[in-house]
Amino acid sequence: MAGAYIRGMGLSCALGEDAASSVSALQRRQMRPVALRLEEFTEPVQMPYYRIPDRAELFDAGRLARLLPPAARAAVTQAGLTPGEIRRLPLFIGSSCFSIGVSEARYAAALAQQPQTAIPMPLCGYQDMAVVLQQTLGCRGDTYTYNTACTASANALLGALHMIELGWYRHALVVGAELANRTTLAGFSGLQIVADALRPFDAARKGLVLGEGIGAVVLSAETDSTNRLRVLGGASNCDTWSVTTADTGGKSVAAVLSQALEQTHLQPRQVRAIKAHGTATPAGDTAEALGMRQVFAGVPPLSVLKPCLGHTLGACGINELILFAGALQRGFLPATPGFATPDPALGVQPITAPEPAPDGHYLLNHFGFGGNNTVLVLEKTAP
Amino acid sequence: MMNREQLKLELKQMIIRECEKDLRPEQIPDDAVLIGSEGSLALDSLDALQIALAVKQQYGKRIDGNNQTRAALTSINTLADFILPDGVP
Amino acid sequence: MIRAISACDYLQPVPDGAALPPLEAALKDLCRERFRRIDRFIQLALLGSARCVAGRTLRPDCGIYLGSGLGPIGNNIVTQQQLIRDAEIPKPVNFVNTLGSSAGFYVARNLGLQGQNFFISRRGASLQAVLSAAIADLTCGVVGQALLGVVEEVALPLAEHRLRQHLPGDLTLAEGSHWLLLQPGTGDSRSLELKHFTKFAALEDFLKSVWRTGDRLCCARSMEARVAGALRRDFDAGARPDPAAAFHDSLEAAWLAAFAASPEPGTLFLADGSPERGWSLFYLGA
Repeated sequence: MAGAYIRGMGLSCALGEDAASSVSALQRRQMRPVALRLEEFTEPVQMPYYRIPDRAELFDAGRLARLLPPAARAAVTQAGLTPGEIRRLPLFIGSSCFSIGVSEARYAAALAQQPQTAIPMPLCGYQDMAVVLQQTLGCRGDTYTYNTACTASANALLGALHMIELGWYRHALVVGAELANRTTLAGFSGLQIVADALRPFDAARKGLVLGEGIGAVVLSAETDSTNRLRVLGGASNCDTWSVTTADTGGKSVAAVLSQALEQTHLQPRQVRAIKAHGTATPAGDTAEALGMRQVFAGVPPLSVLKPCLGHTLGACGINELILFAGALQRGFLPATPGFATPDPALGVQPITAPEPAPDGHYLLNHFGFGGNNTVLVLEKTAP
Repeated sequence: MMNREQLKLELKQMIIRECEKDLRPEQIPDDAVLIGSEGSLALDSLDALQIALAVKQQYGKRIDGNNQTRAALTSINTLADFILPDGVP
Repeated sequence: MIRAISACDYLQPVPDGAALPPLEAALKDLCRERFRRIDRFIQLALLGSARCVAGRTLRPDCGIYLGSGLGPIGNNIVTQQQLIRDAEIPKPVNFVNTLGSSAGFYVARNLGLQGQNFFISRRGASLQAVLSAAIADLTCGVVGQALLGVVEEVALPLAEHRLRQHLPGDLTLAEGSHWLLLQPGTGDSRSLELKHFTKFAALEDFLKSVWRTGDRLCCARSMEARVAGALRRDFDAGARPDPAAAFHDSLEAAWLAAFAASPEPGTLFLADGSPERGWSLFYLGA
């Protein structure tokens, strides 16, 4: 399996408005959710939220078109692609919001103006992110928009990887994008899994905290002299136990971890560390912990990035890949600041202080609604 | 003011509607366990959320993650007790 | 060689003033359990996938590739009305079904699958996106079988649904659920291949070299009209469904699945591309 190299990364998230400063903030264990209050409901929706620190109003419908291109451009610039390569560049996008925030704003404006003629869902939005990126970056290649809840951008990366391995594309731009919108915030409040703080694998964990983020990665068939990071492969499966809750026995998590190792010809003992999904929901962390324990005799060091980033849903695959890969490049495994008290029922706990990150293989876990589970395998080698 | 029997019928209709169960109200006993695979209705956690939101929107009563309010979802009887102010027959 | 061992084509025009045809009775016969909390998009996906599989035992490593230009539009409309018009928290069931992975979940559950399960969109070219992804994974050996479907739902009222898509007011809309079951191997079922070309001339040359009388060509709507016109002139473009007869966002999928399910001789070619994207030719053999 040849894999594909990470040649460029761009990121905009609660930790910072570029990849380098975000990784630095992760290293400092920065956790800066803002307090959010949506007043329009009978009982206001209140929750902490990890927002991108731009100065715009959070629900400003122009944010999508403003925030999406810079992260993608940063990745393309760092990769050093030629104008011709940019023109042919295929896009692989993973999201769970797409342009729903814009759609909400247009529908609300139409209702305010002329309720009789207002059309709900005025945008059929899956393609909108691809269109914005094509127009601003000038890339005209094929587009693939993945819509598989919280595994969307991880699955987009797997799709790009396989097509690069087949030689269909030499480079691909893989983007994870999630921006604040009322559907997601109100929808998650109705699911009652939003907590006041994100405490992954902690005995007192009560749920997740949402966040936004836009991440972009250029994947390439070839490396350059400075390149040290390669996506080796991965696996994805579907647990049909429940559409919203993972099977807490961990069986499907164990299955997807084993498939990812098998795909990349690795033994469990070769895994240096795992970037856990760690949503901090009672059931989600139980499934992940028990699944890992079924595959690993001794579970490798665990890092969870969500206490610093928030849960960026469909974008978490790419956003967390960038943060984790950035940390590996700097030689450290990120600590998990939200964790304090081990849960004896889980039998695993994330690292609470940074640890050295040697060359070798790392796993990245992602699990989502619809039973979608995806594990990516990342390799760090000496330059 | 609504009486208890009326309310219980309404709640049964609400559960059938919100959870798309193939039942008639009279097929749900007042003390039947609502949530969980061992309960006779076999409702799951997503059903529980769906009912909780409907109860809040229709009766203004909040059922959330804490054990006390969650216990309201045990049966039609407990749900009616939760919604009705004390002393209503 | 990848083969299309089964296909299902469900294309249902929705005349103005008509209600959407109920699907519950058909699903009762096709589903292993009575699914609750499913929207029309999920119903359409269940219907097409179950008819395509038609009782076959699928491989445990069968992947699901679901494509759609509009996705669960009816459910998304209801959710947005609850949220914006009524200023209410969306119902959990509606919200969960906006997230994209629900339809694949129910298809997998109905067919007993636990493998890879993707939902991929490319608006009006979603068929090409899922075909590419499935062919790539089958070729790499990531999956041993692929159940590929393209589903488009109609949301009433039709006038709004046309406006939403910027379609002319007299266009007849249709719902569709179009599926192929693909696996590597030999046999007498139709072969499915994908070829990429950097230059358009290479695609033309290739078509000339393999074209036989009776073959059919479909130019994707995403192709520039001038290029598509040139291809249609050079090759017999018969039997392309008349878009005016009934339209949805992924009509090419209807054509492909109908051809796959039919005993007709010949090969069907689906051409797509642009000078920047490069050119691709999907073809379903005799």
